[in-house]
Amino acid sequence: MIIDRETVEKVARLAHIQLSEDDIGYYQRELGSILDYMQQIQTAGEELPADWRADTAGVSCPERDDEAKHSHVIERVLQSAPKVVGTAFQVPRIIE
Amino acid sequence: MAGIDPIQMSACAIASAVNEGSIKAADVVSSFLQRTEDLHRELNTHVFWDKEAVQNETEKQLDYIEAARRAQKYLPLAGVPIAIKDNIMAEGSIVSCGSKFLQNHRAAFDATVIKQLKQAGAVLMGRTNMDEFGMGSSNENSAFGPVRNPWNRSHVSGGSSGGSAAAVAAGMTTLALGSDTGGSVRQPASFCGVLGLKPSYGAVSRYGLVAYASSFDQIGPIGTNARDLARTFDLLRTHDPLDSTSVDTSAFEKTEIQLERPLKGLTIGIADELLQEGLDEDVKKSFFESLEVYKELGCTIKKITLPNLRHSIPTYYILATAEASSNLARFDGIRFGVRASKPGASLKDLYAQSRSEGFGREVKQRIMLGTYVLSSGYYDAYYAKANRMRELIRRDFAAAFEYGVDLIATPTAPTTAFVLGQKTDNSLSMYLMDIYTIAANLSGIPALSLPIGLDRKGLPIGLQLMGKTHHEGELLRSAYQYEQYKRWTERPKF
Repeated sequence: MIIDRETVEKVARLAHIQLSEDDIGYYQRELGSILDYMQQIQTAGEELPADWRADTAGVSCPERDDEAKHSHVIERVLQSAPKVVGTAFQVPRIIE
Repeated sequence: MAGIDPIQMSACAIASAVNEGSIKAADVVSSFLQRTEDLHRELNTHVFWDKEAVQNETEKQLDYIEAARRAQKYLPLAGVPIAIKDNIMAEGSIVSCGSKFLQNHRAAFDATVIKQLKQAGAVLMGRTNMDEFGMGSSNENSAFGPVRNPWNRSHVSGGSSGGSAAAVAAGMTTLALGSDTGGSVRQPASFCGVLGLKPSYGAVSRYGLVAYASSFDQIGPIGTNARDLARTFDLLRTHDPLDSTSVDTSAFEKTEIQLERPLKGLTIGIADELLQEGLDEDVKKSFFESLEVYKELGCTIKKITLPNLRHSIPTYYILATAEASSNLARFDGIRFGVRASKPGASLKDLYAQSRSEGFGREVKQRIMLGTYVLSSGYYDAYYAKANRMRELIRRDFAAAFEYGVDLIATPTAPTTAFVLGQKTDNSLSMYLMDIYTIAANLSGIPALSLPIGLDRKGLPIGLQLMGKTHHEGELLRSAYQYEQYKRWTERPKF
């Protein structure tokens, strides 16, 4: 299966990824063949009970006390930011 | 100990020698620094390797080890070098995740596992190459080039923790940490002829691990023998309040003290349906030979059936990419990583351009695949179905363990290490390499790969053992007993 150009463009837009012409052709082919292969699970999984839930499959989640702590990492975090103004990340203007 | 080359020593032997003062941690470290300096270019095992910088960073740790020795405080990994996969935070290091996007990203803190290792006396031995964000099975998706297999340089190392496995196999470090989302510790360990453990989900803290697929990711150790792995795992397995998936492990018995217990009475399950199509003849032969060893050791081999495991690849690639599309949304060019060189006018353009320039081809593919399976109109057909399938796979394992097996054995991978470039233009053929490893991540059970021989081309073959949740002790004990019986000591030649 080759998925159509519009689908690839739509998915790329949703994922905030820009694609070149070559990329679009490549992903039409690759995504198409992977999704084709994934079709095999369409007919599976019917035998589970109706009240089955994915989020209760025996996973425990220990809780911790909710304590405020200083992380003292602001400077170090800002060191790895691409553009910084004072103690803030710089972004393009969004309100005129 | 004088005269013994630290490169030939196990982690446990190094730790004993350093603790008792018969060898200096500084001498151990300088042997490995030189070895890495000599070999890393040829194998491309490390990212941003800088011998002097790594050496400088070890100084504080060497002081700590020396102080502990003087105070007669025992450190379980005193002076043991450990290389770290490049997606685990170590304060001050560049943590690139094998991606151009994070090539300038410096970690602001230590991951919990790094804190634990330092406390145990281990010495960090550089950052290892990996498939970008852990997405790959051959280490060919690294922005910094593929890792070469120490056994044959024209073959892949496996992935995604390829740098970690190759560095251990080549004697550039005694231990390494990898992370395993669908087999990324076990498969490269198998391809490089070393041991790798994927712990049970929740056994080891992921605080400070860059997330790929959060319901699968686990950090695991890679080493040359089971005792080293057991010791490392024992100190990493503690509850971490900073990782809400980390379980309370206080009641679990340490695995190292279980190693000598005989295997008599243990039952190993094998599923015929997994040993058919696509399995290399040499791998199959070695696999059955290894089962004979386990019979000699007193184990019973029992046929089992795991009917839903044949769907594990589509199930994994739906769920893991869905989670990745969400996890990797944080890479937007604002807070960390690389910002587009000529960003457009709007914030959305900035996101899209930064991501397009920063991510490699496979990462974009998996983000788009995840976005597709979660999108309106496809969610029920893919994501919801895959969640149901995941539960059926879990139930297959539960039924097998219920039926009386203690361990389940498969090969770690259907073939040995393939030639570089052989699968890079066909994603699906690469994904199929994960057929044996993925199910343990889907169901959260622990699994281990141990070397059992070489194929006719001289490339290592791995046996995978899977166990019940939080029963790592049985896996490590089984690997240890196999080693004692077979004494497989082959190493790649340099």
